This record gives sequence, C-alpha cells and structure tokens, in this order.
Amino acid sequence: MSQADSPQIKALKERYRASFPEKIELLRQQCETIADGQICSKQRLQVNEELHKLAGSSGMYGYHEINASCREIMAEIDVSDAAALVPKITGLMLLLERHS
Amino acid sequence: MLEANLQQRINAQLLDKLQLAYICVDSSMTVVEVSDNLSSYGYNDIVIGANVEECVDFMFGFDAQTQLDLPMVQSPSGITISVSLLPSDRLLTVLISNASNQADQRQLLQQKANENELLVERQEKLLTQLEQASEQLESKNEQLEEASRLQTSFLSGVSHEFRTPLTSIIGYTNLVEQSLQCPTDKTGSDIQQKADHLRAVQRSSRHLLSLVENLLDHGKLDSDEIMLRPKTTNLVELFQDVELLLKPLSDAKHIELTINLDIDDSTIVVIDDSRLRQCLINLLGNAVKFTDHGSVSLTADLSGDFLSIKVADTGPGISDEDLQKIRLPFWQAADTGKAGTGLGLTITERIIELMGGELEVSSVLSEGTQVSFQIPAPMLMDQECAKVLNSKQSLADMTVLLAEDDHDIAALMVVMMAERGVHLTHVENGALALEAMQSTTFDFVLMDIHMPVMTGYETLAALQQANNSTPVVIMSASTVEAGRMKAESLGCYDYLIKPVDVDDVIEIMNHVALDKDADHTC
Repeated sequence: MSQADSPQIKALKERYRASFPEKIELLRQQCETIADGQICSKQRLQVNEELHKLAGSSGMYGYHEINASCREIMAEIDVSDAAALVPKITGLMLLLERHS
Repeated sequence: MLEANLQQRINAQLLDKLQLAYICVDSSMTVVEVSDNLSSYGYNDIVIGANVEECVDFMFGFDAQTQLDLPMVQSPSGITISVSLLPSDRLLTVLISNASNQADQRQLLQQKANENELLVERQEKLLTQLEQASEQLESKNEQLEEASRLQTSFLSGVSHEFRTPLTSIIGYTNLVEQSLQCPTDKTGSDIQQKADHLRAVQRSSRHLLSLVENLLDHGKLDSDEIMLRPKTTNLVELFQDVELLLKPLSDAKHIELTINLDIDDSTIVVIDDSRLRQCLINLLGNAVKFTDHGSVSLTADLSGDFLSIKVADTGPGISDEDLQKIRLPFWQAADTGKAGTGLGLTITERIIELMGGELEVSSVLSEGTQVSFQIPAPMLMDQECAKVLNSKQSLADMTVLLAEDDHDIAALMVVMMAERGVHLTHVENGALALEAMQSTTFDFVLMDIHMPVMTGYETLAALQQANNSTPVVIMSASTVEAGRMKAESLGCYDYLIKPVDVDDVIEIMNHVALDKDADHTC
C-alpha cells in the first residue's frame, strides 16, 4: 500500500483495466437476457456468478466503487425483479465505462 | 338445731354445685373453719387449729389482712383452682373455686393466640414474598418497557436512516427515467446531468450498504455473535496501515494527521488486529470528518501489556448535553451536515469493551474532542518475537498453493506475494488443488470458494475426510456470515473477504509458521 506499484503490478492493472469493455459486454448480454421482464432462477445464478467474479477481482485491483456496486446488486439479486435489476446493472456498466 | 343442720346441708350443696370451697383463718393465720368439700381439691390434712401457712403452700408469707386473687393455682389433687383471699374484721376467708374450665379455656386461648401468631408470621412472610415478587415483576416490566422503547427507537432510527438515501435514490432515478423518456434531448449537459444523478444514486447506495454493514455488526455485538480473533500483530505496521488509509481523507480537507507512537518497531503483541483497525478507522474517521481546520492526532503507547490510545482533534467539540448521547445507537449531532449512520461510535465502544477496555470521551466546545481507551495487548517475549521475525524470513521457504479460477486475481496474487518473497503454485479449481496436494506437500493453501469442477467447500470437505491438516485460508467475495461458518466447520484456518490484503495473508502465514515452530519445539 505504501510503496509505488512495481512495473509488473502496473502491467497487471493495465491488463485488468483493458478487460473492462469485455466485462461491460458480458453484463450487457446478461441485461438482454433478463430485459424482457422475466427472470428465472438460472438467470439470477448466472448474473450472480458474473457479479461475484467482478466483485472479487475489482476489489483486488483497487476499484472499490465497482466492488461496492457489485455487492449492492448481489445483495438484492434474489428479491429484485428484472425491472429493478437492469438499471442497477446498467449503472455498474457505466462505472466500468468510466474507468476503462 | 335442726334448722342449723338443714342450713349447713343447703350451704354444702350450694358450695358443691358452685364447686367452691373455703378456709377461714384468724389473725394469727390459724384455721378456724373449713368447708366439707375441701378434700375434693386434695386438701385432706387441714384441720381446725392448724396454721394455714404450714398446710397450704400458696398461703405461705401472707397475713390475715391480705386481699388477693390468685387466678391459676395447682391444687394437690391436680385440679387448677382459683384462689381469692378475702379479709374481714377478724377473719381471712380463703375462697377456692374450680378453675379447670378457665385453665382449659386459657390454654385454648393461648393455643389460638399461638396459632394466630403463626398465621400472622406466615402472612408476613407471604406478604414479604408478595412484595418481592411484585418488585421483581415491576423490574421485569420496566426492563420490557425499556426493551420495547429501545426497539421502537431502533426501528425509528433505522427507518429514518434508510428513508433519506432511499428518497434520494427514488428521486434521482425518477429524474433519469424522465430524461430517458425524452430521447431527443441528448446534449452534453444532459448526459453530464444524468451522470451526476447516477453518482448521487451511487453515493446513497453506498451509504445504505455501509448502514447495513454497521447494522449487521451492531446486531452481532448485541447478540454476542462477534468473537475476537487475537493473533500476533506488529502494532507499528498496523498504525502505519491506518494512517495510510486515512491520509487521503485528511489531505482532502487540508487537516494535519499525525500518528505518535511510543512503541518499538519490532514489538509484537497478541490482539485482534482486524477489530482494532476497525475501531481506529472509526475514531480517526470521525475526527477527520468533524474537523474542518487544524489537526487530528493519534497517540499510542504500550506499557505493561496494555495498549493506550488517544485520538484528539481540533474540531468544533461536543456539548456536555450531547456528550451524554453520543454513545447511543443512531444518535448524530444536529446541524453538522455530516453524513453517517450514527452507529460507528456505538460499535467501536462495544468492540473496545469486548477487548477489555473502556472508551472515554472528553470535549471542549470550539477546542476539540479527545477519545481514549486502554486495552490488554500481551507482548510476546523477545524469544517469541524473534520467532515471529524469523518466521517472516522463513516465509520464502514455505510452499504455498493458490486455488483460484479468476486469472486476474490469481496473477495479481502471484506477483504481489512474489514481491514479498513468497512463491505461489497456482491451480484453477479444487480438484486440481487436491491433485497437487497429493503429489506435493504444501505448507499453506489459499483457496477461493466459487470455483468450477470442485468448489472450495467441497475441497475442504475432501481434505477433512483425508485427515489432511494443511492450513487452508479461504478467500471469498461473499460477505455472508453463513459462508464463513460453513468454511470454519469444514476446518479452514482462516477466512478472508475479497479484496484480500496480501499483508493479511503474510500475517496469517507468519502465524502458521509460528505454530509449526511451536509444534516442532514440542
């Protein structure tokens, strides 16, 4: 924390940041599958899997806002309907967009 | 003569009927006359001319002028008699009557009196018990009323805390929704406005998340679910970490943040570093938040296995009235305009209590506030410290396995751990981890939970079944407490929540190395 990032860490961070468009696309696909208003348990699980992964990695790479946003959506994924989830996921996509 | 005899018989019958007998004595206490029925009371030897004091016990010491009633006297025949001494001009009549009935009645009365006394005593006891029960009931009632009041206050506090960010979220999302219904309006300023609205929504959401996390902690503390996890900790490093975390906040407000430590760099203590860090962040965070000019300082010293900490600021201070309330859950100073859940200090105080300390707060309006506490922090002896320090040096010799399916995280962990002298062997799931552990002996395993093929839980269960005691530290993005409990029941060594701080991993490895050394020493 106190030391400046080593070139290796810098390169990893850059690689991670460069993967944001790919992650946005994955989230966009998830949104498309649930956007018709119906969301089944399998879809919830898939969305949760993606968010879980993103929450873990974004936090590790220092993107705490993204991490917090993922956690917020994960916390309510089982009880929210598609109409409530899509705007939240879109918000997360916006966050990723801002950092990419 | 005949009449005199008749009169004598009538008198005798009357005396018998009334159960009366008598003795008449003269002034020298000599018996001059007795009734015929005197023998029925057992006075058989009283004859005319005898001294009454010699033949009647109860007459001893009296003279002929004595007037007296002796209500209960035992006669020689065992009958209870009542005696009246009736003096006249020249004679003293001793009138004896049967007092058996009075004696029986008296005994009965005494018995009843005793029984009454017993009843009164029992009644008093029952009354005392009733009073005690009533007091207990009253106390329970007060407790229930207090609990009900606290619950209402809690619900009201929570509702209030939730309402503000939720209202903001609903308001801003409505604005965004309205703007989305006007697709023609796509100017740069409109996009900027939407972005601002979304950021406001994010801020409110983060505040809600922080509130939920604090509520969870508060709830756990209330139900004694929070357990301390003391471990060997380098205090200086801990304080440096906290300083680095708070520095950006104080810099942003142009406030000087200083940490004054009277602790040796190499001092190792046994303490729950995670909870101590949480308390320090809360206290310093509060100090920075409420201080707009001047400085915030933390002073710490370690003496006799006790760690003393004082956080002082040059903020606006707290009034005496508010000082009484600051420890209450959800309480926040009015008109400060500072966001917060009102739980930070409550949680900090409870954690410090759990650690064996007591939080003290003093403040002077317009001058600032001081918060201090002292908690036990047993220092390791030099030899043990050396072991910890040596174990750090020996980390490079440890064989460490990382089971993580996310390549981004794995790559980062491998590099960051390598920079700390630790080499990781990386596999992508639990099945591969088991395979690797069969061919190589690892000193330490870092493992994710959500992995394809075989999850972290399944891997832990397999290791438990195989009696493999390699320390496994779980790294999970899930904050659900049930996850930690499940992993702990399956024998995990520790449970870290992502984002994982590699220094925490190093600390746990030091602990493992220390345990290993201790086992070898034994």
